[in-house]
Amino acid sequence: MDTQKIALLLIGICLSFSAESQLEVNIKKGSIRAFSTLSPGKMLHSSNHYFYGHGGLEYYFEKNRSAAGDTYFMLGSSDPKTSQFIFNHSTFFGVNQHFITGNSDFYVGLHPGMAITKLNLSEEPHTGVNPLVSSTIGYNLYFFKYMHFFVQSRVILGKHGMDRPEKLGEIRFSAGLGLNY
Amino acid sequence: MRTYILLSILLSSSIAFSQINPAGNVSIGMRSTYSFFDHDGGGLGTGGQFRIRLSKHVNTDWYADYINIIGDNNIRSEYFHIGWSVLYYPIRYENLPSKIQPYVLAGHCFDYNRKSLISDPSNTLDRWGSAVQAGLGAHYHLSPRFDVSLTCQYMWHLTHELEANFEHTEVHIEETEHHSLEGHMLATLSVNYQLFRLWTPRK
Repeated sequence: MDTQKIALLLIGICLSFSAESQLEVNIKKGSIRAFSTLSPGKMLHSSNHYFYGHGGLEYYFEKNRSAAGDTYFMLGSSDPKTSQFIFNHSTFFGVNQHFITGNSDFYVGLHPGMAITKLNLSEEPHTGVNPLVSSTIGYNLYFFKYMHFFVQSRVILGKHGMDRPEKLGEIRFSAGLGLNY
Repeated sequence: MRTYILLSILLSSSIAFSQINPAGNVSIGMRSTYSFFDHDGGGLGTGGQFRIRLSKHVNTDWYADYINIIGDNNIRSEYFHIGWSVLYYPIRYENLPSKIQPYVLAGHCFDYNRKSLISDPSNTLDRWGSAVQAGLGAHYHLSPRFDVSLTCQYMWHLTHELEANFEHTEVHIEETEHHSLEGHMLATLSVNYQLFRLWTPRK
C-alpha cells in the first residue's frame, strides 16, 4: 500500500511540474531514452514484496510509438524468511503507445517477456525459465533537453513450474531520472 | 440485398487494391500466446515473428515461440514451436474507418515437447515432431506501419504424444504408440512494425 501511495504522489508531482514547465523538448521519431532505477514489487497472489534493479531502453520509431526493452534483476525481498524465490529475474520487450502533449508523455504498453526463477526451498531447487506477459502504464516528463523524470507501473502474469507451481503475478513500480536524446 | 452487399464489398476492395500494393513489406513483432485445451491445462507462451507480404491478399508469418503449461496434475509440458503460416485477406480495406483487417491462416511448424514431473524435474521425456495449424485472426492497424494482431488457431500435432501415467505414487512419462491428431488451441496477441520493403511490385 505504501508503494502505491508513493507512486500516486510521484504522479501528482509530475503533473504539477508539467503544468509549470516552460521548456519544450521535442520528442520525435528516432528519439531514444534510457534509465536505470530501483523498483519495488508486490506479488498479486501472496503478501510478499520484492525489490529489483530495473534498467530500460526505448526507441521512438514513430513520434507516438516506441519499442521498449526492460530488464529487472531481483535484489531481495522485504522478508527473506518468507521469500518465495532465491531469484526472480525477468526481461521484457514490447511496444508503447504514447500520448504526448508538450513535455508530458503518457503511455501504455504491451510487453511479452521471460523470467528466470529459482524457488526458496530447503532442498536444492531447480532453475525455471518461464514466459511472461506484462502491461505497462507510465508517464515521462521531459524537463531538460537530455533528461526526463519518469514513473511506470507494470502488471506481470506468468507461472513458475519447477519443483512446485508458483504464480508470478506481480505489480512493479519504477520512478526516477532518465536520459534522452 | 445480399447480392448487393457482396458486390459492394468486392467493388470497394477492388478499388482499394488499385491504390497501394503492399507486396514486399517486411515487418517484425513480438507475441504472447495462451494455449487452451491441452491435456495438461492452459499455459502462457512468449515469442516473436517476422512477416513477408507476398501480395495484396497474401501475407506470410514466420514465428518461434516457447509455451510453458503448468498442469494441476504435477506435470509441466513445454512446447517450442518454429514455423510459418500463410495469411489470406478475403477483404482488404485501404482507407477504412475501422482499421480492422480480418484474415484466415494456415501453416506448419516444427514442434518440440518436453514433459516433466514438477516435483521431480529429472523425471522427464521429450520428443520432436511436426504440426499443422489453421485459424482466424485480425490486424488492428494503429498506423500504416504498426499493427496489433489477435489470432486464434488450432494446432494439430502430427506425431506421437507424450503421456503421463500415474501408478500409485509413481509417475511414468511415456510416448504413445498411436497418432491421435490431437493438439491445442492457441490464442496469440502480437504487435508488429513494418521495417522495410524487400521488393517493389510491378505496376
